[in-house]
Amino acid sequence: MNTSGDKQNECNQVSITSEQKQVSAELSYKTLEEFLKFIEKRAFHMARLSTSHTEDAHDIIQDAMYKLVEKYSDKTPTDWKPLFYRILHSKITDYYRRKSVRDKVFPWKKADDQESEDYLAAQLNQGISLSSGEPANMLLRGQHAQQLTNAIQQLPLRQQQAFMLRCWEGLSTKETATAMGCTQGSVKTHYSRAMTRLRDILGEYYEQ
Amino acid sequence: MSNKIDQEIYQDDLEYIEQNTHSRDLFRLAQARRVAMSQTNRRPNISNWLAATACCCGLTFLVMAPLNDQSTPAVEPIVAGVQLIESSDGEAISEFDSMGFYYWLDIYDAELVANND
Repeated sequence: MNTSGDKQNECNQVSITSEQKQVSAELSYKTLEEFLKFIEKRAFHMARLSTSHTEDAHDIIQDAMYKLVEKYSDKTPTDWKPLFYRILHSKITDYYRRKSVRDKVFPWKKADDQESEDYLAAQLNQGISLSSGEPANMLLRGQHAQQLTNAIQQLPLRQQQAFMLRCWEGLSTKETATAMGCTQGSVKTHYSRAMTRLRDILGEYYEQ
Repeated sequence: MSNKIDQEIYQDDLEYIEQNTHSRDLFRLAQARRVAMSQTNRRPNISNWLAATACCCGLTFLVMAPLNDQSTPAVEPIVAGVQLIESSDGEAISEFDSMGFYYWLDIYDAELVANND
């Protein structure tokens, strides 16, 4: 009985912290430049995880930023985030369309596409981790992050999007639906499937 | 593990990924942001456009008005001449353009002279 009560408390605390994060995130930018600065790193990693290619991720982010400023700079700051992610995910979808056409026309180029460099591993090997803490903890966190990265890359694109927008960016179901251009029901389905799949892949690894 | 607890663990790891962004990527992101923001400086002001349009209209009017005044007298004598010819003979102006008419006129004049003689 106590355990279920504790779990309930933990869940409440988690939801409160996520709400606090959301409020603080909303307050942390007022101009478009501040917004882009606030969002750029996360958006870049989302694009990188979706495309598995750093250079393409940079191109996509630049296009998305450019389009947001060009078309939606007159919108209110609360609208920027869903709009930006909508543009970003349209660009990622376009990238996959172009890639599939390119793979059909130039099949021999397919093998060169995968990025051989391991993003986090390179950072860890150089010992440039920005997070403070003991080396053992840092190493463990790095390994977990790497596992999570690999697991996310195994998800279908829509599940990746739903997971990253809901879990990482902390968007509500409604905002995620706006960003993904689908219904709230679809978002819930994609997110639930993503969580189940990630739990299947990472469950044992995280329990160790 | 519940969904919420999983979510919190994943969030921690995702934040770790975010914190460990390479400096070269940070530099390129800053560049991309600067390029995107440079559009706001280049955006033309509507009042400037209105002023430019008004100036263009004014200039066009100033250039075209004297041309119209000069061209009017040049056209009028031709028109007046045509009207005079038309009114004197009572025939259509198109008949004067036809070579057949002049040919017929010559024959008519020749016959008239022959009859008078």
